[in-house]
Order: sequence, then structure tokens, then C-alpha cells
Amino acid sequence: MDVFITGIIMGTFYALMALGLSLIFGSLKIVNFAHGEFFMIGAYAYALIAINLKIPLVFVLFSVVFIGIILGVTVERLLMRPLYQKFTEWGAMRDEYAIIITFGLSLFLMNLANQIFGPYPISGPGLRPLRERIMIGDIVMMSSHRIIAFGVGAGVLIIAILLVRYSPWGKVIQAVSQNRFGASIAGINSTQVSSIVFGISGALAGLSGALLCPIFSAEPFVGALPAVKSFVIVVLGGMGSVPGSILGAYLLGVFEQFGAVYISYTYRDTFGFLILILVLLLRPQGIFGEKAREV
Amino acid sequence: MRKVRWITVVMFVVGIFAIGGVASPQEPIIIGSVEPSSPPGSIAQGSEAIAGIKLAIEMINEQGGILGRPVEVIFEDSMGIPEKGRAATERLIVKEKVSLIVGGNHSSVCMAMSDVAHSYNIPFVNVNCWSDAIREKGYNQWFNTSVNNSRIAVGGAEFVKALGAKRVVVLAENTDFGIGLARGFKKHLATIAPGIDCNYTVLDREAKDFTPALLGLAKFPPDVVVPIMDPPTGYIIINQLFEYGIAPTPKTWLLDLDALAELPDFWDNVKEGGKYLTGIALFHPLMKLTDLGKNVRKRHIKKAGREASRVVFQGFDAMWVVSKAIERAGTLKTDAVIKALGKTDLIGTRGRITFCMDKGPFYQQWVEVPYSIIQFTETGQPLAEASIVFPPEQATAKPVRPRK
Repeated sequence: MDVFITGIIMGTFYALMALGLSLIFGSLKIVNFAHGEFFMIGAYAYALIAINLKIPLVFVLFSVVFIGIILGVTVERLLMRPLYQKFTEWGAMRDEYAIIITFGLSLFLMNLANQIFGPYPISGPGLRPLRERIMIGDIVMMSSHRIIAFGVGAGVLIIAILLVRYSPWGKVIQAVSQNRFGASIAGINSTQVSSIVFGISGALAGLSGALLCPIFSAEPFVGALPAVKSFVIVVLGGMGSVPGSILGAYLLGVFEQFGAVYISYTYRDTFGFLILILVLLLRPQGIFGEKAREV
Repeated sequence: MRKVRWITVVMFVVGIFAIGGVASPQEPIIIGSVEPSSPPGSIAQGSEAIAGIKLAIEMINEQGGILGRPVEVIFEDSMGIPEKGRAATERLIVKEKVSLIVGGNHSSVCMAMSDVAHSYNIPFVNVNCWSDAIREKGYNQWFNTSVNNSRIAVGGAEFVKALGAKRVVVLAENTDFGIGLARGFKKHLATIAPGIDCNYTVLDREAKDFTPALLGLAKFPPDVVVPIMDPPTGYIIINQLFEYGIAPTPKTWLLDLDALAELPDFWDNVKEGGKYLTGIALFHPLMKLTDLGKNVRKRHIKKAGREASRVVFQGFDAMWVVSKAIERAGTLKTDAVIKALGKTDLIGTRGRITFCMDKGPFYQQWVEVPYSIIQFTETGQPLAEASIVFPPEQATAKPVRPRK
């Protein structure tokens, strides 16, 4: 049971990361290789604001979300928009440019953080002290921080899903995801949608970094592993599928924990790729992905 | 009169050239260094080693350089990856034409670099690679001012025996250093205290969440948990051991064998989990330093604004040993320098440095690297205020457990 619970908790953090990546791919067909660095900046922002400003941690989390939105929107406005702004005019959108640019951005942000914050990792305060633990009988299940972080993460995840599914903005995002050109003809400002999507993506990744900062520590390269997991999840769930990403995140979280406990901890990160291979063999489009044909 | 004028002109010109000859900068001696400056390497330890090497260069140049020539160091980044370390070493030797190399962090990287140094016959003084396997290769180009796993294993095992533990679990990183030290520790513990049950688990150095490995320990906590992991992963595992209530607790001691407690970012990352931590320390402010060591410490504190860690001293000592060996050899020819290094007998920052020449884990190793086991009794406690709890002749206090 404890293995399952920890798997669900890790799955929630994975889902926060993967949802933003999936939304970006859904609406822009771009793979954001700098997604892990949004996580890293969220972790740094949390640690530095909490330590230096000493404001209540709730406000720190809101600040991180705000920083994530600003970061996402800025990246979209400065680096992404030139790639697709002619798409509505039947100009050619160059996917490979997006790969190069986001990959370059990833390296740039990592090295920038290394220069600004230095090589030493830094850990932020827990939402509750790590010594406060949830226990069943005599057995420690986990710290209160992890439970609260899970609650915050799950809450934000539910809100994000409801917004994407039912809000007017969410419906606009869905429309652009289904057919960007068609949405433009229907009068939807797809450029604005792209900004919103990048903003949401930055906020979710940043929040994920902030919630895990007390456990993982912020350092320039902390985003690499969560980013790899997110890519696995997005492919597993079906490229661009929001429900697929969330299911994929929980599957990965739970399978990793069970594999690590009952098979071998050493191959823990391999289990994710194993599930990915199995799913892709049976459903090449991912769990909730749609078969597509390009002419 | 005209003749006198000519003689004056000639003397003036000769004088100018003569003065110019003396004052012109001499060709510097170039020494190579390979340290991790980017991940997955330990940037923190790499930075500390570089700080120590730079301090040594500064002091050597202040004293007139080596053989009257100034000294410069070219730093390369190993990223903590063996292939990168191998390529960096080869680049220093082939492209930069360095005569000697000083450096090394992460034993797996040193394993790769030692092969290159050996094949090109270039002397290499190891700053911070602990694995015995590197020494056991028996390369005569490879010298170690860094401590080795065998010495740490002995120290750790004797402390665990003194604690009266019955069951010990080692959490070792998946590297030559981690696995080598875990094996050495277990082996030595079996020799000196056969009744103690000791097992080790190998964990991924790049992982962030160790929950699956810790759940079992949370249910059946041992008497001592011994993490052997470089930072930042070492900090993460200490935090998670605390988070799951495994160690330190009234039942379970936490013994760090990676000397993390000395590093400047320890308390920025560990917080409550560091209270009651016991750990090996290769430097403690109460530890006896030589005059040279006191000078190095003073300079480092002035420059960096913080206490020197053992890696600073290790970096300094390695560079210092090299400079003195070249002086003694009187040349940069590698065979002569290797021979001179083998005859090293000088006062470093923490004591007298000589190299053991017996084949095995102590081959060309400074054997008497001083160490102690310290314990923090408060969160955020400066290293200077931490108790020394082992060995008994150095101890300032007895090890204590948390009350609850």
C-alpha cells in the first residue's frame, strides 16, 4: 500500500510537469526541450524567495506560479512566435527550428543559472517541517511536506484540467489543438492561445519545481531528470493528449515504485522506458493518442 | 671625444638589451588540471579543488615560480563523466603539451584518466579520488595526496564497532568510489567485528527520489545507516532518511562516509536532517594544521569569505607536491619528475607528506592523511563547533543520539 501511495504522489508531480509539455505539443506541435529548465527556475525561485524574503510559503508558491507564467509567455513571445506566426497564412512552420531553439534555450538557462547562482545546490524550506511525519501505526509513511505538496499539486492539476476542459479559454485551446488553421478561420486568435499555453506550462513546471525543492534541492541541472520523465509520459499518453498525459504520469509513478521495490532499485528509471516500449508496441499512437495521417 | 660618445651609445644599447633580457617575462610552466565544473559531476567539490590549486599557484608564483619560471594552470572540465575526463586529459597532454596534471574528482573519472596519464607517461597527482582500484593498477605516473577508500573504510568500521551496532546498512552510489568504499567497509567490519550484520545497497547517483529504497528501512530500521554519496545526491539522501524517520533517530545512527559535513553548502541543503549526523571529516577547524595549512586557511577565508573545506587543502597539497618535485628534479622531463615525486618528503597543509611505494591500495599514496569523525548536535552548527567523537584520542565529546 505504501508503495502504491508513494507512486501516486510521484505521479502527481510528474503529471504537473507533463501536462504543460502536452498542452504545448497539442496546440503548437512543438516539443519544448527547455521544459526541465522551467522546473529548475521554479525550484530556484521558491528557495530564494522563501529564504530571503521570509514571506508565508503560500505567497511564495503564488510568486513562483507568477514567475512561471512570465517565463513561459516571454519564451513564447521572443523565441516561439517567429516560428509559427506565418502559419495562419499557409507559411511553412518549421518544427526542426523549434527543436533547435528550445534545446539551445535549455542549455542557455542551465548555464545562466550556473553563472548566477553558482554550482552549489540550495534547498528551500518545507511547507511543513520534514520532522512532521504521517504515520500508520509505528511505520512512517512520509513527511507532512510531501503530503501537503501532493495536495497542492493534485488541486492545481484538477483546476488546470477543469479550466482546459470547460472554461472559454480552455475551449479555445482545444480548438487550436484540434486544428490551428481551422481555429484561425473561425476567428480564434491562435497567437494569443500559444501565449496562454506557454504561460500555463511555465506555471505548472515552476510549481512542480517549487513543491519538490525542499526534497530535491535547486541546482542548475535539476530539471534534466523530470524533463526526461515528462517526455516519456507525453509519448506514453499520446502526444498532445491531456488525459493521456495524466494517466501516463500516474502509470509511470506507480510502476517505477513497484519495480524499484520488488524487482531492482538500480533499474528504476528503466521501468519507465520499458512501459513506453510495451505501450508503443501495442498502441503506437500512445494510450489516448489518435492515429494521424499527413498528406 | 667621438670614440667616447660611440662607447656610450654601445653601452646604452647593450644595457637596454641586458635589462630587457632580465625583465622580459619568462615562458611559464604549464600544468594541466581536470576537475568537474558541470553536472553530473560534483561542481561543489570541483570548485573547492580549483580554489586550492589556484591558491597554491598564487603562493608558488609569489615565491618566484618553479625553476625561476612562473606557473600557469589550464583547467579542463570532466563533468564527472569518465569519457569526458579521458578526453580532457588527452587534450591537455596532446594539444596543450602540459608536463604534469593535477586534479581528479570522482573515482570512475580518475580510473579513465589514469590510463591516459599512464599511456603518455605523464605524472598525475590525484586531488580527490578515493577508490583503491586506481592505486591497485600500479601506475608509476599516478600519485595520491587524496585519501583512499581503505583508510576511510577502516576509520568508519572502527567507529561503528565502537558504537556497539548490530545491524548496519550502507547506501552507496553506483560508482567505483561508492561501491569500492562500501565493499571495503563491509570487509573491514567483518574482520574487526564479525558479529555485525552489514549489507549495502547501490543507488543511482543521478536519482532524486529514493523512496523505494528507503521504505524497507523505515519498516525495519538498522542500528547504523551509512550513506556514501557525493553531493548533491548525498544531501538528498540525508534529507530523505530524515523525512522517513530512518536516521538519525534514538535507535539509528547516521554515519556519512563521504565527508559531506565539511562542504560549504552542507547546511544550505540538509537542514534538520543534519542534526546528530556523524561523519568522517578530513578537516576540522580544531584539527592540527601546519604553518603552511594555517596560511592556506587564512588566505582562503579572506578570498572566499568562508571556511576552507578539506578539498581546498587537497587541491593545494597536490599542486604543492608537484611544484616541489619539479624543483628537486630541476627539469620538466617526466621520468625525472616521476622519480622526484616518488621521493617526496615535505610538509603539506595537514602534515608530513610521503608516498608509500608498496603495491596495492596504498601504492604511491600519502598514507597518514589525518581524519576524524565529527558530530553535529544542532541544525546549522558551524563545523568549528561540531564535536569530534572519534578516534578516542582526538575526541572532544561522546556521540549522542536524538531523544525522540
